[in-house]
Amino acid sequence: MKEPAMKAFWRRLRARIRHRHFAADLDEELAFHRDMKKDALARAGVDNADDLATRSAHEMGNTTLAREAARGVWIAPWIDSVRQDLVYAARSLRRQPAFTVATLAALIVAIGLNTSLFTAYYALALRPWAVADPWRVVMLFDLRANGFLNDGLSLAEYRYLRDHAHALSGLIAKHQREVVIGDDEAAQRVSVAFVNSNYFDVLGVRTAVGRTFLADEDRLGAPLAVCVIGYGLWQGRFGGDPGAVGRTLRVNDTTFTIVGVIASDFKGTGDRGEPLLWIPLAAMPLAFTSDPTSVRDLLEKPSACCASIAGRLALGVTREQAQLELDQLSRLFRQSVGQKVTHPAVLPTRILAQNKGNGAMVVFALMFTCTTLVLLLACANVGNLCVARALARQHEIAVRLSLGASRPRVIRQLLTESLLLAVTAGTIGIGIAFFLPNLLTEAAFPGVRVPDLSPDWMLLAFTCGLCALACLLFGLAPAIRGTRLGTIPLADSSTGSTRAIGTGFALRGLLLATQLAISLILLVGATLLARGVQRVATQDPGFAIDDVAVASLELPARGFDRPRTAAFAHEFTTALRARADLRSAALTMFEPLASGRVLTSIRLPGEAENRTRTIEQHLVSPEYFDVLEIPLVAGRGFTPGDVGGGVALVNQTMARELWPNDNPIGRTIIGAGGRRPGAAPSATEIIGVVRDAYTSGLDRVEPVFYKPLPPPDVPFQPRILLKQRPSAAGAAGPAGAAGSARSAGATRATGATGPAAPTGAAEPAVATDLAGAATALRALVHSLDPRVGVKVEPLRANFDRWLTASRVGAAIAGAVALLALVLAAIGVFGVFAFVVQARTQEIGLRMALGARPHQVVALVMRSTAWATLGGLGVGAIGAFAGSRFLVGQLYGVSPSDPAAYITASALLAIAAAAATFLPARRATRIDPIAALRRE
Amino acid sequence: MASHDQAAELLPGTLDMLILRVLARETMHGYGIAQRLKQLSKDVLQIGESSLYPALQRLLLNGFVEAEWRPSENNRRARYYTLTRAGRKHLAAEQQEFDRLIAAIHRVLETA
Repeated sequence: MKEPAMKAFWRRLRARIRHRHFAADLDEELAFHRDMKKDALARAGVDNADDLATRSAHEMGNTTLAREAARGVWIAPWIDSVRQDLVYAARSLRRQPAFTVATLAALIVAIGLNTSLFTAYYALALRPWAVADPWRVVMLFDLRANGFLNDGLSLAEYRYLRDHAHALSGLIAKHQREVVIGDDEAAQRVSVAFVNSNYFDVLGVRTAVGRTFLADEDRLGAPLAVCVIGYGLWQGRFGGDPGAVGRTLRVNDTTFTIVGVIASDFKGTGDRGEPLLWIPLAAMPLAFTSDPTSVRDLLEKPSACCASIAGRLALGVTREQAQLELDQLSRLFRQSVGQKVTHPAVLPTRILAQNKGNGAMVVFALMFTCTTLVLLLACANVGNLCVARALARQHEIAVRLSLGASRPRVIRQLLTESLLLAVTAGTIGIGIAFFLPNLLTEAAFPGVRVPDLSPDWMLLAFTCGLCALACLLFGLAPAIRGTRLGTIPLADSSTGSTRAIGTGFALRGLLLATQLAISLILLVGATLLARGVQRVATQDPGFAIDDVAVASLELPARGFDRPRTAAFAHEFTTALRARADLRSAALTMFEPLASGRVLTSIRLPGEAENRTRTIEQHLVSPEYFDVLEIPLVAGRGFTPGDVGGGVALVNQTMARELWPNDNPIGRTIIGAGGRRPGAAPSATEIIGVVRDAYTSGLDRVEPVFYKPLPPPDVPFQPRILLKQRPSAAGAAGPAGAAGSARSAGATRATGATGPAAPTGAAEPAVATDLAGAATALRALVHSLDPRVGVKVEPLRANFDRWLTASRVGAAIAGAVALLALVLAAIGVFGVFAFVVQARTQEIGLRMALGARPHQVVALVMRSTAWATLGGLGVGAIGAFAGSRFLVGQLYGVSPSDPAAYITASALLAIAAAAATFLPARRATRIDPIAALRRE
Repeated sequence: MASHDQAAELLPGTLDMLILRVLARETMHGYGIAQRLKQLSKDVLQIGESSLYPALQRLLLNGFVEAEWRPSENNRRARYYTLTRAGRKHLAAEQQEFDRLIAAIHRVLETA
């Protein structure tokens, strides 16, 4: 039985494909038939040509029918009926543009948002590196005692693990740094990855042209100046010329030979941005000729830090097995070189797998939940509209059922309509998903660079799933309900509508309650976020922010190695101190709310060596606290004599946390000693306590300690905090050394003697405004080295940058909530419109008997009261529960903010009232006579 | 239908069998099949094109007949249908089934 059916299917398919040929055959065959008939008639004695044609046509019957019937045999019946369904669905959707547009808009936004979030989530949390067989590639982290994952190990340890590990078929190392490539005018600061020789082979990355590195090119002590360039650099600098291989490229001060170009789909490994070229690790000394010691240390010393390590699991080895082996090997190695034993953590290459517990994930999950809720809401809503529509169409459906349409067929027709909507919305949603994810990740994870954010087949699968779900959710229930009425309503329309209320109501009530609940949750969430952002934006950060500008020095791409940087920093600091008009400027490494910060491990005397805690450290000049108006609450402040010394100031939080019951002044903390070779753990004495300020984040005050600026031999790129002084700038001294501003020699000469005497120059004596101070600073820097640039920004910009994530989060939440509100309004409108329509006769009767309009409105309202109250109740509980998760993730959110609940409920109430207005008015305008006549 | 008043209604499903039976004797085109049926049944069975051609297509689809373009007796291009092996088997089965049915109907008519 099976086989003939299969054969018939193939024949059918062939006929379908050779459709034109098939139709021609049939036509010719029928023509032959007609001619034969004509001949037969002619033989029978019919002479008249007209008569002949008529008679033959008559005898022939309906040729078109014959042809269509014959062709119909070949067309699988469902193909045709699906086409019919689609055409019919399109027509019926076109007939109701308001319904169609509302539904489409709701679905497009919901699906678009969801797919975008999924894309971003996928790129961050699920997508591994773009290498061959990525699931077998793992990364090695150093798991510290405090739970921090340190990115990478020393290269010495790497080599030991590489030579001894059996669990990995290959182990690779990468150290990423910035270099300057090209000659003077075309010089460019780029990111370069120093890698071991089989880096590309282990990852399975191919070259577009040329080759990757040979084993000989990565021998320590025998550096060869070769490099492999990225596709982008190849296109940009060499115009994609295959002849680029074999040409040379200047990297810092050495000329490297290009041996290959990497294929375009490889974007590097890790989240530190895409390197533009790769150089063997052993060739690092060639690239950094000015700093041979630190490079040699990095390459050879077991205590040096660090290179990112990744490996490919050997066949049949799990991540856990590799973990065990590496643990063992790492312990052996560290004991043999006398280093503290930590544990390497073997993790997958997905970006978020390495960022556990940084909060971003939670925010992300929340956004995901919210938009999924909106999608559900959209579905509930569209479902609601569809129920109303199905009921409005029950006459039509009844007619179709009465005329013999089977119930499955009618259900299919209704499903086709929702499918058409869902597919259209899904298509546009995917379109949106091509540009939105970039914006989302930039907003949510400002620091992380995601290599690839284009949607892919996973996304398509996800969206198709969403569409199918949406289609089922809002199509199936109404369809089944709509056809359950059978054919009776056609015969007896009054019983039909009464039954409709009975069966339709439970479903509609549930939908209404669901929407109200979800809308309330989203509205409350958005309001909480918005209020949180507002509160933080207006709160006092604890330091002066409005009259302060931050100047940073921009060193040229070439010529500033470590010694030169250190020398320049010293020159600059000395010169700055010598300038009366800039003397009050503060120096620091990172200004408050900067994008970078310095974390140090410290411990208290008497604590075990592995009991270190990580605390934020700021290097500041004595003027720092004055400029930022952070007062000293105990002890003394820094003096110029403290530079490089072992003293520190702590903020109140640190004082409270480390010495809960004692006066911190005079106590010491012990630094871990740093990574510099030979640095012994150093004791630092606490000399004072400063007031808490939100310098490292706006959500809470972290423990912070301040140390004086480093000694002159340490390279240091200072940031300069300039302050606008209200009047004569008392702290700045009586006058500025305006005349000497252009003369570096003079400035330096007078440096040690303090403020120079006024020379009666053309410039204002003291720079009291920020612009003047900035100009003076630029002049000063220019006089020291014209190649160094100065960038000046208000400190407020940092504050705004810091708030951006929260602001964007609140804006997204607001948009989502607004959408939810509109959807809820549509839903409420749908329900009331339905109630009024279904009870027209009853209302008419009541009005004929003297009911007042407000009684009629109350009647309509009462029918949905339970659903409304239930939905709002559940929503309030859900909102309260949900917002508990928001606390601590976003600044300033408090879950029990009554104003948020009141605002959200009020908004929802206004929207609901507006939505009921039209149906209610229709109810009060029902003409009793007309309504009763219908009975 | 033109021939409704004089022509007998066919039992459902029998047309396919009759066509196969006609084709069992010789390869024939559609018009020929109709003529032969009319002639053999002494004008009782007049098959309209709107039944004949769908029936032929159905037989083609099921693989019971094959079609081929060939010159006709008066030298025109006509589509000739040939019974296949499957068609022959099908015809035998159908004929047996039909005989059983007719016999049953007969018995009912005679004894009831």
